[in-house]
Formats: sequence, structure tokens, C-alpha cells
Amino acid sequence: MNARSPSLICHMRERRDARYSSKRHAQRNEVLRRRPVRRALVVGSFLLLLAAVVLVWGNASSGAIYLAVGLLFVAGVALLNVTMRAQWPDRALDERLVAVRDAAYRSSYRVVAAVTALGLLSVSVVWQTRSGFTLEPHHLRALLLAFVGLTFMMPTAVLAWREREI
Amino acid sequence: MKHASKSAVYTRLSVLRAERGLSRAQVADAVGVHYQTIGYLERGEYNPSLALALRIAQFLDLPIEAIFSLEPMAPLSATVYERRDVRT
Repeated sequence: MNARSPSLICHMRERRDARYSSKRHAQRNEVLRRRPVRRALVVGSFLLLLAAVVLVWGNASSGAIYLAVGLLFVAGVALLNVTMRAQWPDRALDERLVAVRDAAYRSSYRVVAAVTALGLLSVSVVWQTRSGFTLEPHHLRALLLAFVGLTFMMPTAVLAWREREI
Repeated sequence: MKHASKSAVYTRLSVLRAERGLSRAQVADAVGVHYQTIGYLERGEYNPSLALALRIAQFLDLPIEAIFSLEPMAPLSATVYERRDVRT
């Protein structure tokens, strides 16, 4: 039997709640918290994601791809630093913040679904109309990077873009 | 029957908080929400759940209708003077 004892689970929950509580009251970077800066960060992150996808699609040198993905990671961490709540569970948020987070997830779902459908449609159209075009592994890697990047970034980006106070 | 698409909840929370010299953080800690949520409530940008409204009422030791209303609330001073007039 691999079940954890109730006291251990309670202890782990308490530790996690304490961690969220300290994060909630932690002073985040004041410059990053400003809305114009947050929006610039969102735009920058998506441009970096686009650059990384284009580089992978074009089978560019691995150095350029690593650079784009590295910069994207840094931008993503900076974005997460100001909108950490996008990833928090209900217990760590109050009712308004849960509503705000859920609204961000709803919007993200719509955007990711639309972009994914549009992307796949475009690829299938190009595949059928352009003779000589074959879907190579690096094309699939680019599509996967775009999908995964969008899925992970979108809720945080929506929060960073929309919210007046963070 | 006609329903408003988004019914506003009016509040006197900011006046009551100022009257008691409480900060937003103090009220927020007492009722278990983020301090920004108190700001949103005071500005009328967020309608509280019944549970939150009751917790605020309990904390301020007032009936819920003294803090929140579906109708625009008269200024507290006007309400007080009106009551004095009635007594005299």
C-alpha cells in the first residue's frame, strides 16, 4: 500500500499554504508590475515564440534556436513573476481572484483553439496546394513548439494584459 | 419580468472602513481575501458572494443591508440626520 498518512498530507498542505501565503504578500518587482511593462513583456514573449517557431520551421542552426528558446524562457519567467496567480490553486486565491483566473483560462482556451485550428488548416492547405512540399520532422517540431508555447503562455499573458492591478 | 444583465451591488464599505480607521489589508485579513479585492468591492467593480458579504457584515458587526444594497445608497450623513429629524 502506497497511501500517505492523513497527518503527512495535512503537514504537506500546511507547508504549501504557508508558501502561497508568503508569495501572496511578497513584494514583486515594481517595474514589472506596471501595466505598460507587462504588456510589452507579453508582446515580447509572443514575438520570441514566433521567432523560435519560424527558426525551427526553417530548420535553422541549433544555436539560433537555443538562443530564441532561452530568451523566451527568460521572458516567460519574468511574466510568471508578475502574474504568478495564473498557476495557483483555488485554495491560494480568494473568490475574485479565482473568477479572474478562470476568465483568463476561458479566453486562453478560445485563443489557443482558434490559433491551433488556423495553424493546422494552413499547414494542410499548403501541403495540398504546393507541390513538392513534404512535412518534415522539423515542421512537426515547430508546430509542437507553437502549440505547447501558446498553451503554457496564454493564461499568464491574458492576466498580464488585462488586469489593472497585479 | 425584466432582469438587469449585470446587477450592481452598492456598498458603504469604504465609509465604514474609514470611520473605524481600518486599512484595506486589515479588513482583507479579517475576512480572508486579498487586499486588492477590498478595493474592487469599494469601487463597485466586483460584487461579493453572499458568504463574503456575510463575513464582512460579521466583521463590522452590522446587518448586511447596512453595508451592501441593490439600490444606490444614500450618504451616511443624510441617513443619520433624517433619523434625528424623525426623533425630534
